[in-house]
Amino acid sequence: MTQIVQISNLRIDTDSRDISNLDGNSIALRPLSFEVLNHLIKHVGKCVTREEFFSVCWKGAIVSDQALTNVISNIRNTFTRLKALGVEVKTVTKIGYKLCVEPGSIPQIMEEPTLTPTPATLNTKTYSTDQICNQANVEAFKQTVLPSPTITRVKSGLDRLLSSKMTSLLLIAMVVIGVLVHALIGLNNSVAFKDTSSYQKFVNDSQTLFIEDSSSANIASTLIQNALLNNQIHANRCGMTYLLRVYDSKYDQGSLNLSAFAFDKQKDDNSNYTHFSVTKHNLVSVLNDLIQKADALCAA
Amino acid sequence: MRRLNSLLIVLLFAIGSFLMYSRLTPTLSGTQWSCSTKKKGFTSSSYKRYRKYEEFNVLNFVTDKQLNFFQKGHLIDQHGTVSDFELIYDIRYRSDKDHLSFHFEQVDWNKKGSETFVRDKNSVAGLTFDYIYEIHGNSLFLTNITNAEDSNYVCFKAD
Repeated sequence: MTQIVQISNLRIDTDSRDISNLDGNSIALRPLSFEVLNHLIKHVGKCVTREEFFSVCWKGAIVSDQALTNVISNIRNTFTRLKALGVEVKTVTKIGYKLCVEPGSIPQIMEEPTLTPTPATLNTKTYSTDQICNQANVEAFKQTVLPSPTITRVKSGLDRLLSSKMTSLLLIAMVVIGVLVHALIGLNNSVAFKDTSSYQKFVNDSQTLFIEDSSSANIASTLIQNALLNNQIHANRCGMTYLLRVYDSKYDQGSLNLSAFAFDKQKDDNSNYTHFSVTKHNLVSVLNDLIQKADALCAA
Repeated sequence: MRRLNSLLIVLLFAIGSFLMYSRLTPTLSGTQWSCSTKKKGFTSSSYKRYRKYEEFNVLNFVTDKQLNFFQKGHLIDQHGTVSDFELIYDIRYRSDKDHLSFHFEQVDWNKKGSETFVRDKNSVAGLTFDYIYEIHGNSLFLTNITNAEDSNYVCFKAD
């Protein structure tokens, strides 16, 4: 059913937002103008405050007073162009606006079947009044004017929250705090040697070597790379992965330490090795020694 | 504005979920981990006489406070003489998120090695060691708060 609101010589189609006069002239109202006019009709004869318009028609969004003034101007202009008789939007100074109609021009709601919109099928309900601008039948009128006021109120509350700049600021602050908290926690709590992104990776047959050399000599990567090219590194039989860490000894100046962590992915096993006196001369043999040990581990 | 706020709400929810997930404390109570450690090339005066040291450890988190730390292994000196040892540490531990604190209460020796070695092992009784730990798959990664190289260990789930 399409609802038609008849005010004076104007006919407002609530589906298409078309407002037309008896001469057949028609103007399509913009959504906001229609919302404001619809709200004025609901409260015909009563003053509607600016705040109420912003709350209901703008869903609580922060807009300037000029926005409402423009919309009212648009409605008045529409009335003028359609030569509306006995109906006008009056300004209530410093408060808001009210829709005033002359006796005989009181809004009527007609329900018109969508598929057969002929005047003969219209169900008409008329709201009578004695006054020009202070009718008592507003409440009854409200109940029949679309859209459903309950749904509108619920939606506008959520919309108001989502459309608020304050909500944005609050959410941005929460996101920033969340990121900071995560960053601080993350910096304090990680097992660094587990992270292979800081290692150099070498693949030799079925085994994978991850090497990180933080020593002052920084020789491990080059030596191991050369040894791999010259086939001097033994191949492990069961495809182990090694994390190799070369670093300066804290207890013996000039000495290098090698820590190795061997992982047997197939057997879910691992082993830790430490050699406390690694040099550029014995590094490859130390590495081969631990590969040999790892071989024993995976053969067990 | 509505889209921005909706996006921010989703982002906030994602960060919150990730934080909660990443801060979940994995329970260690009732788990067992084994670690195999081999050391060579000693340079310190007390260990120079040894050629090789091998140990096998089992960390048995008996309750949410009590840990039995079993160690057995051997030291081989420069002449090839093998000295076996076996001991159990009673440890009170405390885990808080990814922090793990071990307080070594006492050492029970099943088999003692050389005097220096026994003194070395006994010296940890009464001391507390703090670690950061991370469980990745079946591996338990341990390191200390400064990520010092000599505090890095990997153990494998034994149960």
